[in-house]
Amino acid sequence: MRKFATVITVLLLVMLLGAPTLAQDSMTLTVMRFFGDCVDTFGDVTDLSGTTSECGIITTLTNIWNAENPDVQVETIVADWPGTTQLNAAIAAGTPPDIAVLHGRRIPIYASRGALTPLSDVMEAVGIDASDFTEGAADYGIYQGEFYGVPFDLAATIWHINLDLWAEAGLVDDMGAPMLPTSPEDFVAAAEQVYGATGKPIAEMAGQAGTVRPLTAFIFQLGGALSDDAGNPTVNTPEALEALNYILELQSFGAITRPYNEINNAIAVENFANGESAGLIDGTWRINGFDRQIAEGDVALENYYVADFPQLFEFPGTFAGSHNWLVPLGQNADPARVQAAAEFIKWLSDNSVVWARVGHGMTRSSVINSEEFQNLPHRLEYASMSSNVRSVPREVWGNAFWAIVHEEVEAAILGIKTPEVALADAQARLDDFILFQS
Amino acid sequence: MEAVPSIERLSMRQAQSQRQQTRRSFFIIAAMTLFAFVWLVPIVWTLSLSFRPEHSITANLTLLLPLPFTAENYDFVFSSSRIPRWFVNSLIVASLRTFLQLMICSLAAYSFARVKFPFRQYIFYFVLIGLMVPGQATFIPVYLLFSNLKLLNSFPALILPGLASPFAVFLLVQFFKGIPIELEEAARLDGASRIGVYFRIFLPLSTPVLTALAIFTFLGTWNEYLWPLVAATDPDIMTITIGLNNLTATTYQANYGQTMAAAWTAGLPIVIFFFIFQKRIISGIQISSGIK
Repeated sequence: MRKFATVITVLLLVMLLGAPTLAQDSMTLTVMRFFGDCVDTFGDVTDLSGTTSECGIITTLTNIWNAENPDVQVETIVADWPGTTQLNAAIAAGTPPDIAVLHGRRIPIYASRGALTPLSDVMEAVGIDASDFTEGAADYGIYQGEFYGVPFDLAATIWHINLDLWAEAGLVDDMGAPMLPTSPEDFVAAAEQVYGATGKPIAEMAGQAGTVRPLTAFIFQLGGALSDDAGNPTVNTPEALEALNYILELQSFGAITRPYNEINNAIAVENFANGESAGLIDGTWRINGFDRQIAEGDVALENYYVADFPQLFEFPGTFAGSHNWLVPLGQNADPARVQAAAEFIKWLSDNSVVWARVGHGMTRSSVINSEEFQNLPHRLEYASMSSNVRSVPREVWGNAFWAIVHEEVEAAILGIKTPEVALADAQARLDDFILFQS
Repeated sequence: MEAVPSIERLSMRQAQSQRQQTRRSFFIIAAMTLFAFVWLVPIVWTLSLSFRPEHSITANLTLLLPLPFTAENYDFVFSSSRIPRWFVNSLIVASLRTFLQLMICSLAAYSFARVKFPFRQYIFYFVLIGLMVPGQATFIPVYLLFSNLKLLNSFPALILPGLASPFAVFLLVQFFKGIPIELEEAARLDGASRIGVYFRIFLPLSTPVLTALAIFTFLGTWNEYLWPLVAATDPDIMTITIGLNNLTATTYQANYGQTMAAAWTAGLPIVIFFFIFQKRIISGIQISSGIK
């Protein structure tokens, strides 16, 4: 009897001592993300086949993780795009989520205020190979040499092409691929050829796809930079002026695009789908939509090709945004939580090829070279985009740069300002922004 | 004999003035029809978009007719089992906030209008300063307060911040001041207490302004977006505006059809509410803008 009592006592003691350990072993991570709420459709789904929407894929991936990792459960908080309102409030209240998704250009704003947890070491610890990121993609997660975000995708500006209209103009080769221009003169010549044969513009550009995105792309292609060695913005440069003048030439030349003030993004997309333009400069996020419309057969567009943003000058370079996973737990976060968060992020990154179904470009060479990625429709047509992308400088002003330069380029296109004045004004506004920040 | 031409002249003048009036009425009606048309087109457009398949919308965005017609966007919206819950949440939040705000603000207004106490005028001015402070300016402090009280993701977080409304206090004070003091004095002589006067004299006489305030508070709370967006991230507590926005949100691919169906779903109760209470809403606008 005494023996039995001793055994029971020891067992109880072991259970009591072990209980906190067991409790500590299980963890719930909160993930604040946009991409929508589709719990009703994908709440219990753990099968990824056939899912092509952002919301469906990310919800299913989370479900799979939760099914496979009972000790580290992930709870989703759906945020409103672009994810900053709820994140700011949560950080201010001292209750940040363990993981959040943000556009890469916003990372410096949060990292410079100590709101983000440095990730370089923990990435290495959990096996996220930083050298696997393409050169352009890695930059999106970095601030002052340290990874604060893990780049998940590249949402880039690309060239959507109507092959039938290009064929009418004799600009499709024997392999069925468009003969893409490689210089400013080529581009204009190709536009004249297409316009002459079909009466339709070759690369409709509306909104930001006609302003800040091509401007930065052409500056990169001309070998220019958007910041000086001290990390200050430099937009009033000879390369920027050359790029802006070229954009003004393209905008004023009807064979490239309809006039800027006569179209917006929705109309440009509509024109392309209806065969009213031979090409559209817009994002990777349009690809699935056009493919779906073609499959349903109710648009004029039939033979559809996706090309990189045209490289017309010496160096490769194009605009892309990038969704990044980050850990907004600050500088002194609990290492165990950071480690668990990094493991979940690694898992997402390892499965990012599924995310490519949406149309986004990938950030990891191993994924880009995988058979699964290359078998996706159109992906090989614009695969080099992942290497050509250039991030806006990893500075606090990177996000403001986007809005200011867009407005000033727009003013130049609409004839409100000369290109010289527009660039000078953009520079002055950015300088003011930096003064205000400091 | 001389009267005949003058009668003729009079009737001619009357006929002329009638013609002028008819012409004026015609132009006014035509102008109003035009304005109504301009106002209605975007609304009809959103309704039409909500009944069109997405691929057809991106092929022709500006079409006013729902062709081809589909109910798939509403199917999508109503396929969510959480919509009834979000409706109920919105109803609870809007109703409770309306009731409590009227109670609190009318008591405060009665004090400012009728009760004499030290610094009354200054305190009233201090309350009015609240009219000049935008909600965004107090957003983070209020959020921190509710976070510290561990009240985020709860109904109190959605209801409490809107209870003390400087506008409601101001409006009610103006109205209460217009109620003859003799009525109050008579009630007091008959033995009514202050609170009795408030309940038996002021509240019944203030039905028009209280109704107007109730309608505006209810509508404002139902449509509120920013505060519930951050205060209620738990789907079980979300209001209809936030829940539906999350359902239809995508990052780059605008889903116009679903978005419009969601907007109509969330807005329809309010439209019905307006048609039921439109007379009171209009009289409320007149009261709050000082037109009597």
